[in-house]
Amino acid sequence: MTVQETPAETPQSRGKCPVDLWSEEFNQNFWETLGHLQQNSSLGVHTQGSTPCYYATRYEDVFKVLRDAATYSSEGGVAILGGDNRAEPPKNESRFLPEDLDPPVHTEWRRFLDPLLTAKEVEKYQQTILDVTDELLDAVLPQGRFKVIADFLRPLQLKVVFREILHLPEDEIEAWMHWSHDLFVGETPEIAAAAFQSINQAAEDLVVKRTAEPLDNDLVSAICAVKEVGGREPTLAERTAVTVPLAIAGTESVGTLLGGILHHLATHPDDLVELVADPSLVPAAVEEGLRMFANVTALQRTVTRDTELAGVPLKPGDKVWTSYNGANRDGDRFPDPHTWNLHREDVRHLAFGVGPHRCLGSNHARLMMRLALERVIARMPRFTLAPDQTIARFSMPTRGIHEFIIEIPTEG
Amino acid sequence: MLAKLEIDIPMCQAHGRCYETAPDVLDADDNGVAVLKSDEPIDAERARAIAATCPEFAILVKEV
Ligand code: HEM
Ligand code: SF4
Repeated sequence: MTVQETPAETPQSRGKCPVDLWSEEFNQNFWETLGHLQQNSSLGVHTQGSTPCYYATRYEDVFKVLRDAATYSSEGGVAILGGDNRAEPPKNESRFLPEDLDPPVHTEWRRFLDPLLTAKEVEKYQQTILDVTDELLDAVLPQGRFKVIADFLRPLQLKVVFREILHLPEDEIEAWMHWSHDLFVGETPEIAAAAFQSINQAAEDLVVKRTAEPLDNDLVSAICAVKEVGGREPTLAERTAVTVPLAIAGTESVGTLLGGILHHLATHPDDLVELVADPSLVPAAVEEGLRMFANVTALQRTVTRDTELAGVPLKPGDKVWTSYNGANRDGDRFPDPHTWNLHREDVRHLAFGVGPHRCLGSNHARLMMRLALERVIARMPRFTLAPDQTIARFSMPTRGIHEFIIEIPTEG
Repeated sequence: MLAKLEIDIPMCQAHGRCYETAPDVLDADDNGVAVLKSDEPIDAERARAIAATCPEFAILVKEV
């Protein structure tokens, strides 16, 4: 057990917007800032135009918001994309389904989708995940050092999602990989926006194709076969809006989480030794990794009625942003929250959320993380961070490490 | 030590982790909401392990 990223006692600068989430200062002082908000039991608040956006970081508050969809609606839009949005009033647009819906229509969609991604159902992906993992490790291991994100985790998650979830033909996968890359790490916002357009268009084409020629056991075909939601037939645009998140939700998160775990193990040799000595701890390592390196920094809900959160009165139309990674390191909920500990008694973290919108892909994500980690510790039982590199993190709307290089020491 | 499980029905979101883990103890109704197969108490440790699979904290353990 080793200590990781213990927040230093830096005095919070006063008089400024406490949550300038897009600033480099927040990125650099991420845990200190969240810890400060949690200790004061305060909701950080900023405005979008004149609409207040409250930032909930305590486990208790995040939990309450996510479970109460009647008070905290998803219909004003959930995803916060496209950078600093404080200058303009909220757009309240719906982009992704079923994310941006409330029960009961949300529940109808989930009843169609959930059975396709149960823990049992995703077991059939096991062989592909192992094959892709080994294929990528075969290519990088002989080099003795490699880029963890670009050469291993990003291609891993993209190939698995595009092959197994979307069942795309091999010759189309390259194009989807390219757009996904631009969407998440595009040089400019314009490149990212263009990539999003391309994915939307390709997803629409896919929906048209699977409607005409459905495949067996195929998620997109199942989406195309849905006859009625909310008392009418879903439109092509709606079916596309359900398909797009399946293509993009799992293509940043799994790699970011695994990246957090591998970086931790590369920098905490005792924790690596513990895991290598007892691979039956891999599922516990995945859960602790989900707790500590949960990627989502903020998603949004819209207040529907007068209410109160953490002692703050909220009005209809106000926004509440939920911090999944903050909740997961709330010391009131998890003792020594910044310490990696595979023997915690209660690890019910919020990496996948809670309540009606809890991650649809969690079983698939867990399986991928478990198998990839098993292969990594079996095939490279020792690895360290390569010296002379600067580790840069991003924090909005998700937190993770851009890139890092690990080295595999040669025998002896 | 024995215990009984109880499902907090409004909290259950039908994610199905409990009845996938313990199909001998729990089943799903037509909406996927968890239902107990029997009212018989089970081993308390097992009961706690099953409750811990629920991401919604919707399974309560009552020791008997
Ligand atoms: C480690 C990986 C992952 C993490 C940490 C993660 C995290 C999350 C979180 C926090 C939410 C809740 C959003 C909310 O509160 O509104 C969510 C929802 C969702 N996730 Fe994931 N996710 C992961 C992987 C995946 C994968 C692999 C897929 C697709 C197969 C996926 C598909 C979805 C979908 C469709 C939703 C929306 C569900 C709804 O609104 O009802 N996720 N995810
Ligand atoms: S695990 Fe919890 S939420 Fe899921 S079906 Fe069982 S009781 Fe319901």
